[in-house]
Amino acid sequence: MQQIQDTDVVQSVLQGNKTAYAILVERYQSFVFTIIHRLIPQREEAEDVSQEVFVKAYLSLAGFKGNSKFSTWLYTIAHTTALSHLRKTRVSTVFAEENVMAVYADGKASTQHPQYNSLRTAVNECIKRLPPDDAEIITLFYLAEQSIEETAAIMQIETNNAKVKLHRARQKLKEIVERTYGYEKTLLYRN
Amino acid sequence: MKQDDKTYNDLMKSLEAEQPSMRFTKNVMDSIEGLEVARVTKHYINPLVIKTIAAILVLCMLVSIYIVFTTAKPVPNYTISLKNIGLPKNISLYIIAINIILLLLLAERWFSSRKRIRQLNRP
Repeated sequence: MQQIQDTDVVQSVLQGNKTAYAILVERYQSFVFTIIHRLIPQREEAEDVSQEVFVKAYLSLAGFKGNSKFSTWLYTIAHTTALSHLRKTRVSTVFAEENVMAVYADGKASTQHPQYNSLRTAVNECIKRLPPDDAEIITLFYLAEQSIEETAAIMQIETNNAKVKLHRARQKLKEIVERTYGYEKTLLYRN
Repeated sequence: MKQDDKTYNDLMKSLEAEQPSMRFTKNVMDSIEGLEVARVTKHYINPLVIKTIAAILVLCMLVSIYIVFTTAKPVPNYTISLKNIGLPKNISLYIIAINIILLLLLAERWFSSRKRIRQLNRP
């Protein structure tokens, strides 16, 4: 069965069919929540901000002109909302980055002797140990399947800068995987 | 090494999105219950007005250039010299001083950008 296009759903909502918006919420809630959770570690807070993103997106739906993918437009709102929330709550990303980097440097995080059920859980745990910016760019590029240009647009940075950031984030993640699992990484890769 | 990269890419593809609570969609729909999609605000200035002003400016410039070139007459035996312009004395000293200040500003920007890059590269 062919999936209804995002733009069709948007048109339907704009024509007054409010309930159609639930389709978009269902479709993108996990991606938006993951992107925000990368920046805001507290789950409940991240969920509140995710809801705020969907409300904001609904209110400004008429502003979506279809020049970009709906997902790119939505993730841009998610990015800016999360950042402004962090600014409001005075939890600067720099502090968050320092905390995460401290754990990363320490190498004695809870994942030192993991007993993960799946490879996915293990990778997600490693991503959580990245600085928020790096975790976000990896999430946008690999999970949310945004192109590098779209990722740059969402994060409001230059495309070349996004390429460099993505490369560095991948390197850091690789280091974390290797540091955490050591010789076990080969087993991890094979799973 | 290539095999390592491939397995790494496979690893990245296995990423899984985190799920919010089961009530998420309902909560959002409840939140937008009393809300309406905001209308797109019109441009504060009609684009036609901006284009008209731009056209008038360009036209004025073209007319001025035309008038200057059609009415100007060459001055006989006129030589271009700094003395004819009436610049203040020691002008070259001022220019050198300005250049030094600009160089210092440039150097400061260069050093601060290097510092920022070094901070970013720090593991």
